[in-house]
Amino acid sequence: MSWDLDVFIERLYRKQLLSENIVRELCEKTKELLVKEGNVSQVSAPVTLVGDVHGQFFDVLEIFKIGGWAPFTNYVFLGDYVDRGYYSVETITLLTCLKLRWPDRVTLVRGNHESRAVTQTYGFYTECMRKYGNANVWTYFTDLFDYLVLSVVIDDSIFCVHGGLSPSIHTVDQIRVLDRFREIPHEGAMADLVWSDPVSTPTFQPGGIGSDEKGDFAISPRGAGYIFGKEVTKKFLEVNGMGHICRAHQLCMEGYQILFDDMLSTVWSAPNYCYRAGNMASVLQIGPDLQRYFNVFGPCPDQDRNIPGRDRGTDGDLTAHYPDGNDDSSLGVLRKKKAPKKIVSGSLRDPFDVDDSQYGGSVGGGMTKVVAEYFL
Amino acid sequence: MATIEECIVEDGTLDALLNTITCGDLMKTDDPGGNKLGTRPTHPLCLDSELSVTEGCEALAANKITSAPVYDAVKGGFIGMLDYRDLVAFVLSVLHKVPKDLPPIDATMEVTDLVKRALTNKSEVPIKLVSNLSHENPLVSVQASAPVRAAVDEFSNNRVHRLIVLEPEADASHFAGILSQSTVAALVASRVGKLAGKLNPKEKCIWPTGNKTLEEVGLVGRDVVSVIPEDTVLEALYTMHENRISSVAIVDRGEEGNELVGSISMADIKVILSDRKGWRRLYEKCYDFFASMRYEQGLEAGGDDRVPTYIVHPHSTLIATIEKLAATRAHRIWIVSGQTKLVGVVSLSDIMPLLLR
Repeated sequence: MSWDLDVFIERLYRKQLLSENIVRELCEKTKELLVKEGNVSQVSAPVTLVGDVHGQFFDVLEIFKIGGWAPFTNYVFLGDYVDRGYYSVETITLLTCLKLRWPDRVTLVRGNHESRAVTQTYGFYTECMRKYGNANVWTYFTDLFDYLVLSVVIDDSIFCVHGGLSPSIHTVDQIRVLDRFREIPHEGAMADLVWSDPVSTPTFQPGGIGSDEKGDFAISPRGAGYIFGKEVTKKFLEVNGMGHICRAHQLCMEGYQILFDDMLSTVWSAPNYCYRAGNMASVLQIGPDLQRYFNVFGPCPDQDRNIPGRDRGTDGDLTAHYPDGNDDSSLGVLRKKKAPKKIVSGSLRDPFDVDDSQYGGSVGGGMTKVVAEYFL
Repeated sequence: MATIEECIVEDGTLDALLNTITCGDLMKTDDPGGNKLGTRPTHPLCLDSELSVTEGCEALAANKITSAPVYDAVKGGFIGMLDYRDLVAFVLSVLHKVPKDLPPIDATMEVTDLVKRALTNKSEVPIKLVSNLSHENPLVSVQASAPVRAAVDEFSNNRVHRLIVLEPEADASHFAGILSQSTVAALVASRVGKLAGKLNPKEKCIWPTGNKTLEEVGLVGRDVVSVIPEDTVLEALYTMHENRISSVAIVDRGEEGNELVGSISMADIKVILSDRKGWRRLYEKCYDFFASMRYEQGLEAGGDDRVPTYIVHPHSTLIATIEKLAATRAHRIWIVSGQTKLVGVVSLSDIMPLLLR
């Protein structure tokens, strides 16, 4: 097959795996692109931030339906693309293709799950073995993960990272000089950025000497990174002249959480996490003037989802939403097909009848692009 | 009057800290409201001796503790501790993995009796017959008024992981709670820990021994008992039992050493025994079992996944290691050189005697 990212992307939207050779090429080319990017990407608003998706492919499609399809919406993904969900391979392959196709519209930040040891334990390795029969694809992607950027700054104002802050990092410039092209170490600044969590009340015991000197960091119970509080967050923002930190890494039942008088927020984008946590998800939409809006959504409705183990016959039937065409269509035929008439509206999907009036503001309206436009 | 910290600086040992705080005080400061990964029960739990193995397991798991004293209402006193090691010994004896000529001291009759009952109805054996089966965790007690140092002595001499704290009440002693090695480690971490110098790298811990590396205190280079990913859970448990340890590393064996890929501990038996069909899991590959444990643990911790294995390096300091153990509430941590090469293990049991230096 000749190299055509648009074809690959279209296949991936149908949840079709790409061949091992194509994945290898994809990863090689993306590494060549990423090696030129610094550890801290500069991005301009408007942009949409996406939190953990953990291989929940159908819910990733929900994100595009609600937030807009690439490249019409700028995206920053904050990491944790793989593990736990059933479709880590399809998810990461799609996102890699989108990055390669529209490098200035898609930014991929590294999460703590973009690591060899973690993916061997939490599912991605096993999924690669099952879907490809060997570990090559796992190797290609985990090598690619070494190239993902560590953080993003939006218009010199919003700092974005997967986990959180580090006692070793006081300025954004210190992140710029790290050597990121390696496996995530067990400790140190790089580990902290992907593993740390904010917490409202640090758990170090009171009465310890020099509690003031300790400041607000405490060792994380996760076994890597730190937990940090409001003072540390405030200082980081002041020193770096920024207004807000946005991160992911922690499940939020309402899809997002705002802490420390709105100095920090968590965005979580995997609804009904692991298909059982019953949580909502969100994406953070940042407008041209840096207005922040959490667009909350629920899981993709069951009838649109391919649930492994249930008897659904062929792999997820998404053809209702995409142009007609079968796998063997040539490139030219696909391009000429008419766009489907069915238009996906931007209204909040609410299969569980959650009362979303509390989330305020209009939900999703105006942000979703008609699917048809993409395929013309 | 000098503060504890001033005494530590002058003396170079933790004596001031360990002799001033009592076991009773320390037990009460154990903070159950902390980070969700580190929550502890607020009340001391003890188990009735007539509870079945399944019920005992469920109680331990529900309260997130690894052992509890067993109280016999008929005899009117504590008859022992139920710990995962006992449960493992029980499982192994039922499945004939332990040679029959190692009966517990209490009653040979009871052992064969329990094995017989177990074979017919695996989870209904009362825990009074199972507690102390491993001989690894005798019931050791300490007075609430005793200094923490006494607890450290008991930990060092008896190699138990936790002690019963007794409070005198009228003529009898009343069970006030449990004091674990973890709590003592947390005390040391909070009083002399300095986040391993991160906040101010030039700042050292005020306790000199704490600043020594694991290599310097002699904890690196000891043999680490390990199994390979393809070994079954039962084989891993047997290896632990045979070596009298409570956890084993899962490694890929290589020419240049072993690469750490996971670990399995005796406490994991709770997953097996709290489910009637759990016995089948004993025959799973231990790596698969380990991965499924991590998967579930992440979800139970509200979605916060942990690192697959807790790790330090040979050049990590003793105090940094203690701080990490206290924060993760783990009993042991693996010593790794480079990214994965396993070169040692350090547990709270190794650390207790070092607190006296």
